[in-house]
Amino acid sequence: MEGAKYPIVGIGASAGGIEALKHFFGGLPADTGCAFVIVTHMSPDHRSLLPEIVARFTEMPVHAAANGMNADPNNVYVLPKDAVMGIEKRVLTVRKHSSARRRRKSVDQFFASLSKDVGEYAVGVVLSGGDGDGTLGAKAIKENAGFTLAQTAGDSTPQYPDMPRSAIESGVVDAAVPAEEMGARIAEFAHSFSAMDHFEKAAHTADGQASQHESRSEICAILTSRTGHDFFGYKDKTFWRRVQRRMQVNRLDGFGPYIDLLRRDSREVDALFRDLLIKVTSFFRDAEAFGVLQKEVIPKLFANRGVADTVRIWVPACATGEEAYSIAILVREHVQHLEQAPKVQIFASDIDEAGLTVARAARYPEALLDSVPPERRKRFFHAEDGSYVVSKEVRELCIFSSHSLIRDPPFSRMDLISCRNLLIYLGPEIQKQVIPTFHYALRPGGYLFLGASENATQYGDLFTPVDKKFRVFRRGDDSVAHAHLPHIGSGVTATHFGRANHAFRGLGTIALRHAAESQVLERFAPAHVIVNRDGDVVFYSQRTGKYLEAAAGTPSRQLLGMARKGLRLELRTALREAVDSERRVERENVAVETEDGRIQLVQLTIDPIVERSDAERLFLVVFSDIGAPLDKEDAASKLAPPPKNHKRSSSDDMVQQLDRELRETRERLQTMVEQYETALEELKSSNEELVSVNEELQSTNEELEASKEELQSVNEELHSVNSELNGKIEMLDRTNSDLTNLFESTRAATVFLDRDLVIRSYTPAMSQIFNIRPGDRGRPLTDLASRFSLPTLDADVRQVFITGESLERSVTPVPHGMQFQLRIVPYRDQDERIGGVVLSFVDITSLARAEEHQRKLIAELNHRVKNMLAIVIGIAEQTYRSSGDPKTFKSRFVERIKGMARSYELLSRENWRPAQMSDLVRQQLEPFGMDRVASNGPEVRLSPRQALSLGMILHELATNAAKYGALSAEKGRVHATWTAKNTKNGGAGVEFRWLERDGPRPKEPEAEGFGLKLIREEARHALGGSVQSAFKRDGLEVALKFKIEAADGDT
Amino acid sequence: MSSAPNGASPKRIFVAEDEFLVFLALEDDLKGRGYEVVGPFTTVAKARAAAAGEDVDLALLDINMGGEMAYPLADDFAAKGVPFIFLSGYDADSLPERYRDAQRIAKPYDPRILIANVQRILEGEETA
Repeated sequence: MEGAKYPIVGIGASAGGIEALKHFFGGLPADTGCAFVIVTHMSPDHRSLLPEIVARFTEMPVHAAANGMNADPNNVYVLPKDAVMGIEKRVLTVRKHSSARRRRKSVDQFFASLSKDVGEYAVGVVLSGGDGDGTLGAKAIKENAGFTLAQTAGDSTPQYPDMPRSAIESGVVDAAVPAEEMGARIAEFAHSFSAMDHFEKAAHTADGQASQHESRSEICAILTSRTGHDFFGYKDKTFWRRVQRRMQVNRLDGFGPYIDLLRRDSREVDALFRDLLIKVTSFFRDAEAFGVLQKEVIPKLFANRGVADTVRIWVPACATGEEAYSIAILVREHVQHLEQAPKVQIFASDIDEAGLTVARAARYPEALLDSVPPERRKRFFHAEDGSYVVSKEVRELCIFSSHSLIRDPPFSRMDLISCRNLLIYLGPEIQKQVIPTFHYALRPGGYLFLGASENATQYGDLFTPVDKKFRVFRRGDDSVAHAHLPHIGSGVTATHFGRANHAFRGLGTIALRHAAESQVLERFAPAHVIVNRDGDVVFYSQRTGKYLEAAAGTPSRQLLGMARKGLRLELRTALREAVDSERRVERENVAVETEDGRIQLVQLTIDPIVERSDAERLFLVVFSDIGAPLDKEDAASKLAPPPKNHKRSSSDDMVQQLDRELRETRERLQTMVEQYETALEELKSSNEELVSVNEELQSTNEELEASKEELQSVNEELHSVNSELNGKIEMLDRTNSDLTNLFESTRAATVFLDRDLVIRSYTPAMSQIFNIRPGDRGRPLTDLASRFSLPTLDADVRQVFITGESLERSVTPVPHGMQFQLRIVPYRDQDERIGGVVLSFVDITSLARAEEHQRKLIAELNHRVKNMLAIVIGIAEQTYRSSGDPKTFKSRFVERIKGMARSYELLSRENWRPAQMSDLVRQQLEPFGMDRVASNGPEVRLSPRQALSLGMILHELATNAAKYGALSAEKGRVHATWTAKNTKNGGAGVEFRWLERDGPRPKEPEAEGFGLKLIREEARHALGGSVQSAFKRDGLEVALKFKIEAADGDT
Repeated sequence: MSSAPNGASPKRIFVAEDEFLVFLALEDDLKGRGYEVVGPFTTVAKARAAAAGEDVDLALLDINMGGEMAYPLADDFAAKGVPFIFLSGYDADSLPERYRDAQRIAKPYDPRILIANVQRILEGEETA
């Protein structure tokens, strides 16, 4: 087995696979020398018949694959039912798989196994199918320099294009061709191995090595001139594998033809370039390493970073973006736990524009997400048309740009550089350049994350290992000496040919050589111009006037516009050809009409200027005269092919000439068609761009709409909040004015102080207490003069602050006899904290006075009641002495008490103010019948005391009259009259007369009775007057004189 | 019964009382014990004028006489060293500070208590 080297072709197919297999085998030549293994997803029923079906398509023996079966050339093996297949040392391994597994990846599995087993002899064919199986497998084959094909539409069309399309989109398919064309490609691929063998043998000889080195230099030069990327440093083995693969793909045998192809076809250069750069990436490739990154590195990147900071991460050689997005996902996962997340920028760069396009689209076949755990897949991707799109939050962290790690100046101040599996492709020379570049790009303490088989330990002065196994390194802080920008690329970038040609630099032989060269150029060189791809002239040599003339219209540098008659057409086609092929183009015998009307034959040479930088491509256009100018006729004959035979008829010449013209015209037509197609392509891509721009605009528009709606709702909310606020302000205004009015109206002097006894506000009544003015708000109360002495105020307020309880104290103003109560209440703000105190001074003067008054009244009442009782006792005693028997005593005593009661009744009716004398008389005499009493007198008011005394006298007179006098007789009458006159001392003098008439003749009593004594003594003592009585014949006559007491009413 | 010492002139008691009926009762009680009653005086002014000229052994003073307080009168007697007893319906708290502890008999008075007090002052420890 060991020596036998032949390709093994893995064929992956699914839905629509049988049709595709039919076309595939139909186009397969006999005896390719390859083994074919068919892996399908087809349902078990179909599959059991599959070997028989396939047998109909091919002459080769078809087997149902079994474990341990050799994969022999020119045999076909079909994956059996419910099994997964691998291959080891060209022997098939077949295992039953658990049918429970829903998503089968049998193609990927076999391809991966195949690529591992046979390396570059592996061929992967992806045919029609409905999912993304085969993509990862094709990637693996491609990575190991195998050959990959995927089905596209041709004579046959894949019924389900998803599977091949997924593989093609991943950029890992060498040949995207219709199924029927695949066979031929595979056959060629198989045959190419003989050339390879030859090549490998040659590598062992010194000659061979030299020639290989030469070829390699040439290929690298082409690559550099086309792509600007230098592959000199790439590892030999890697490099040759890629080149051989391209040679196989292009069906070329030997380096010479391939180098020719590269020179001829710039697309091949691009293809080789892409193959050289290929590397397999996937999300979280090498999960353990990413675990270390997540646990050990990322948290440190965010330590001590605030919102204003930016964490910068660089992923050079990001390829199709998986690595960059993997890191972005880790960052997102970390950031979501942070309260204050710094800004994060992940710069992902690569020189492969196609890869960047894939990365920017952020859309991946499901196959590449295999190592993404389901929770991450759910959180950071969303499925869309069978592929997975990276979520916006991850996508927006990443900035993709075209950038060469080797040639362009590096980024700087990075916190982390993740560059996995790039160094392995680079030779030691370039590594020596790249690693210091990383050092330069990182900020001190920044991290470098490399692939598993890469290392930076030999740069121990630049990086210290953090995790040796998973290749995490940390930039040293100290090495200032190295922190300069390493030398970048070739350094040649200038394109100023004109100036470079004329510049004399330096001295000696070099200067001399320059001078000589310039002179030769001026004197002997043919006229030439240098143009760019668009035909704009950037440099003129001398003596170009013969071929060019200024065109009419605005000045232009356009070469074609300036070309003289006859030159333009050839110039156009030749230039176009040179631009497209980037090779030298020559035209012989171009006829140019000179100014004097003669014809000059010219050799036209257009040569691309070889320049290593990727600056604008320039072309040297050389005009060389052939011979001297000719007349028109001579020229025509010269231009015609030299007649070989004079006998030839002119019609033959004509035909030849027409033929030639036709050929040239056809060529021109072809050129036009190609140009047209190019333009069409450009239009298409422009259109696509426009479509995507439109999409963007639409989504932007939708976002704007959503924003507008949000704004509207916010506006609504603001409106309602505003009106609520207005309502509250009105309420506040009202409350405020209520409070102001309350302050104005209240008589209570109140002042609001803060913790430092500074006045906040006060009521107007406060000015009675302190000399307070509106300007005093904000001043400490203790600064103001007070009418009180308040020595303890400060201490009292402190106590209120401490205890939080109010305090009362009565204070007396210094000058006069008012009395105030001072109440100190804590002022609690909304948080229930004591923010100050409220001092209120309540005027309690009238209250104190009222209390005093009440006390006096009670004492007075006591006095009066007790006095009255003393009087009653006196009356009782005197009545008892003058009465003989208890019965008489009782009636007289009761009469007298009743008489007193009547006086009291009157006085209490008058509220103990001076009473009318007429009222008193009526009150006392009424019980005896007023029809028998004639009372008459002026208005006189008596004090209560005098009224009581006079009442008692009247009572005694009336009872006496009723018992013995006029009122005891039926016709008897009493005249009670009084006069008043002013006397000295202000008071009025009153004379009261009591006359009894028509009663029995009165008798002078033998001894003075108590009644008379009472009358006399009352008149004397209580009234301060005198009494005269006379028992006349007509009846008793009594005259009473007294002075009205000053009516102070408060006896 | 009679406490008036034989042969000796009877003790003179000054009475200031504006209520005639009360005075009558007082006069009866005092005379019944053999004392000589000087009075009645019904106003403070009259009483003070009289007191200046009278030589008495004891004064019975109504505090409120026609609305006028009798304290100046009491001051006069105090100055002369004549003992006095207030007769009043006022309680002690209503009196001015200097007379809070003065002899005082509440109205309406009990004649026995009055006499006992008068005797105690005029005749030493001899009490009824």
